[in-house]
Amino acid sequence: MKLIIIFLNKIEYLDDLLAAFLEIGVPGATVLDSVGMGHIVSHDIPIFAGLRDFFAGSSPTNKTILMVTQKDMIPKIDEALKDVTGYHQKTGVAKMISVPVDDLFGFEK
Amino acid sequence: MRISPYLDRDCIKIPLKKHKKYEIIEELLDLIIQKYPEIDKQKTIQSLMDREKIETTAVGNHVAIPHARIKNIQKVYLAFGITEKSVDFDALDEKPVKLVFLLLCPEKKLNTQIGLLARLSRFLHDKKLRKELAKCKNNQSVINVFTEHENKHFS
Repeated sequence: MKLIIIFLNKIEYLDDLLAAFLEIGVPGATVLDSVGMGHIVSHDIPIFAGLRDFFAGSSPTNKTILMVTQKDMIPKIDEALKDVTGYHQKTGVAKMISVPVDDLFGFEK
Repeated sequence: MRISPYLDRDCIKIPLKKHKKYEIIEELLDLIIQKYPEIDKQKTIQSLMDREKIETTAVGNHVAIPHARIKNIQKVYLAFGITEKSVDFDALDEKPVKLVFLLLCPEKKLNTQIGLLARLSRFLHDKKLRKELAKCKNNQSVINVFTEHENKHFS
C-alpha cells in the first residue's frame, strides 16, 4: 500500500480532480486546507516582507490531498492529475509524492 | 550561518549620533561607504527606503534590521550601531529601537540574504544576547559578543 500526497496549488482544479479520482475508482481521500511556506514567511513575518516578489508563486491557499491506495493505482492517479491540471507541463500547479505504508489501522477491508 | 564573519570593526558605531529612523539608516550606510566607496549611495538609500515602505524592518524587542538587495555589489555588507537614545522605528511592538543592523546583499545572492536575515532575527530573539550587545562600549566588544554567542550556539 502507498500513501499518496498531492499538493494542489491551483485550487480551482479541486472539484474536477476529485471527480476524476471517483471515475478511476479512488474510494476516498482527505483534503486539507494548507498554505505555502513562502507565503507565510513573506506575509506574516515582517522581516521577510521584502521577499514577497520572490515568493509570489507561493500560494496563499492550497490543498493537500492524502489518500491510501494500492500501488497499481498510482499511474492512474498520476494520469488523472495530468488530465485535469496539466501539472506535468506547468510548474506551480501541483506536486505528487508517494510513500510506503507499513500498516493500516481502522481501514475497511 | 555565522554572523560574525560579516561584522567589520569599521562598520560598527557606538553610539549612533542620529536620532531618527531614516537618518540612522543613512548613518550606518555612510559607515559602509566610507570603507567601500564603490557603493552607490543614492541607489542604495532608495532600495532601503523601498524596503521600509513594504513593511517595517523593526522586528521588535528594540531591534531593527533595515536591509536591501543591491545591484552591482559583489559581497555582503553589514553595519551595526547602538542608538544613543531610544528611537521610534515604526516597530510592530511599538517599542523604541536601540540595536540597528544594516544589511546589504548582492541582488543575485538571495539565499545568503534569507539566511542572514533568518539567523539575525532568530539570534536576536535571545534576550541575553540583546542585553550583552546593548552593553557594548566599543566595536571589538560587539564582534566578541557575537563570536562567543555563535561559538556556544554552534558547538
